[in-house]
Amino acid sequence: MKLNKLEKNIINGFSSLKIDSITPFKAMSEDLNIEQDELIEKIQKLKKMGIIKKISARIDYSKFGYSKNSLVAWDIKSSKVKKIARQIDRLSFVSHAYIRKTTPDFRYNFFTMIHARSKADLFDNINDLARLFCTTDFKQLDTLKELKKSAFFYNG
Amino acid sequence: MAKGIEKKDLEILKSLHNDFPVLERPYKEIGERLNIPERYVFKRVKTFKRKNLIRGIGPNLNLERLCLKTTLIALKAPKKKFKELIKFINSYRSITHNYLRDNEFNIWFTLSYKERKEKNALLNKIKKIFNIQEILDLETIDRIKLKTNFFYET
Repeated sequence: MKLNKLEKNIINGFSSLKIDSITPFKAMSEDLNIEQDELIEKIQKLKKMGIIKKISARIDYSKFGYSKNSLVAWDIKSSKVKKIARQIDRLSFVSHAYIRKTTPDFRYNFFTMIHARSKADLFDNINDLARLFCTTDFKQLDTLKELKKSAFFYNG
Repeated sequence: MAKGIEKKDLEILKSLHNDFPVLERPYKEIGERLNIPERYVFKRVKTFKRKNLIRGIGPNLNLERLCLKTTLIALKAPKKKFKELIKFINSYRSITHNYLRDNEFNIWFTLSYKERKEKNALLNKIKKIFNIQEILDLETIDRIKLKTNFFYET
């Protein structure tokens, strides 16, 4: 779906939403040069259209003690994916899970982002998944440093 | 319970994270959800902001609806020109997440694109400028889960 100019500006304009104002959308609407009511209506429309899934506060998880994070890639047969999807939905320590294309240099197709407060917890979480997936064949890619984490920008 | 965070604060954070109300007075709505006054929610939000617990508020988008595809890229960053390479990668707005990871492929970032040729052009540019031979391009086939509720669940 192609967005019009105003919709594009709205999606990219959330950096001017003022969290520490009692009316946070006011400053954003002023930056976009529209009325606050119009902005709110347009965002609600984008939500209804399913382009915006939700408006959400981005949390700094490290402030909650989550300092040990790892991207773990597994070799999972496509016939097992459905069952596994149901199982990991209940495990809150897995935030992201994606099926990806493999390459000759990288044969792992199932990617899970795993979060923990300590090295021991991270080890336990990965072990839980290994038992659930009935495999010890995985690639553990521990996060050493966040180099960039930014809001999405829509170029159109 | 999250470490060192009070129950009420956690409830407010959860509400801000799960569904920030698109209304003139969003903190009034959150207050009604949690049965606390708007001014209390607002006071706590200001504290969260000051303590950088909240990085920002923005939309979670359905990229497929916007005709966008995504991929995960991994490469072996050379020690020489490491900083320049990171600066180059991070300068692209289509790259939103970039991490240093404990592996011979040490740089991992996500990239969104419309057409493959656009993605390939960027990857070839990186290869050429920074003299990198191997790049893993792991295109997204399917998203199975995206739920960042771990911070208040445990």
